[in-house]
Amino acid sequence: MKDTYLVLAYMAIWIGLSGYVVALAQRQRKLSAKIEVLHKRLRVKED
Amino acid sequence: MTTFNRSALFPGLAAVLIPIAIGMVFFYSPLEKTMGSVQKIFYFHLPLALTAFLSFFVACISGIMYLRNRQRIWDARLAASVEIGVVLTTLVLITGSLWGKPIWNTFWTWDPRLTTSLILWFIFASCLILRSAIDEEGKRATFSAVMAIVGFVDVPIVFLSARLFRSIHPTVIRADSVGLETSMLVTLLVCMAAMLVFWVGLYKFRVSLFLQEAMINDLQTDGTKS
Repeated sequence: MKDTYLVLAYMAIWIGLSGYVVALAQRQRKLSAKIEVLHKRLRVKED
Repeated sequence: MTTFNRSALFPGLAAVLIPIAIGMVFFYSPLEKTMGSVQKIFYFHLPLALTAFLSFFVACISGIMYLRNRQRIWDARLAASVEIGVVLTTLVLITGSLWGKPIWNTFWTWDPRLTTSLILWFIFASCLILRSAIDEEGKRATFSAVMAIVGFVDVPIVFLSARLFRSIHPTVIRADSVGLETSMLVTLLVCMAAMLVFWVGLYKFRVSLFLQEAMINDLQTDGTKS
């Protein structure tokens, strides 16, 4: 029974931390998409 | 010739240290006599708590520096450390509850250490809510700086609560000694190093992401104005 709590705790730690890192990576990806849009707009303006 | 990518240093180090730390927890550190296997939660519960305290300390310093200099970089550092601190405190509360159930026979008790930790979580979680609720950058940074400075007062209270008040929460690090066997202490130190390196990598990533987002927003606002 005690092992169950140990497994649950370690799952919580690593799912929690990796979930946070994945969420940040998603934000980074969205930001890259925004930069691409801005870059395209800038090129259109320059042309 | 390959070039050394400095931004990958801490995530790379963490990727090496974390598996070593987990391996040491399960294959090197001995089984504790009274609590058995569930005591192994401790090896990450304590480093999570200490890195959470570090986050709030950095948030407090960043808040002070922002109020003095009014520079965006300090607001970025504050936002990053508060966010990471809240994530870490959440994990501390969850792992603590999962450790408490088989040992204290309850997931939660209003013990001074547990209660002050929950208050700490509420203070900084509300700081995040406050940040998301204010659109004006200067106002948001000022309010959250004040909140981070005031909120940090709870950190020493959490640390000392199990020592000053009647508490069932164990205190491993005492003024005169550390209540651990050598192999347990070595495992704990490796876990702490792993978490610290992970924290630095995460913090640097979050700060740079915050600054990039702010710069893109500036560009977009300038674009709509012109």
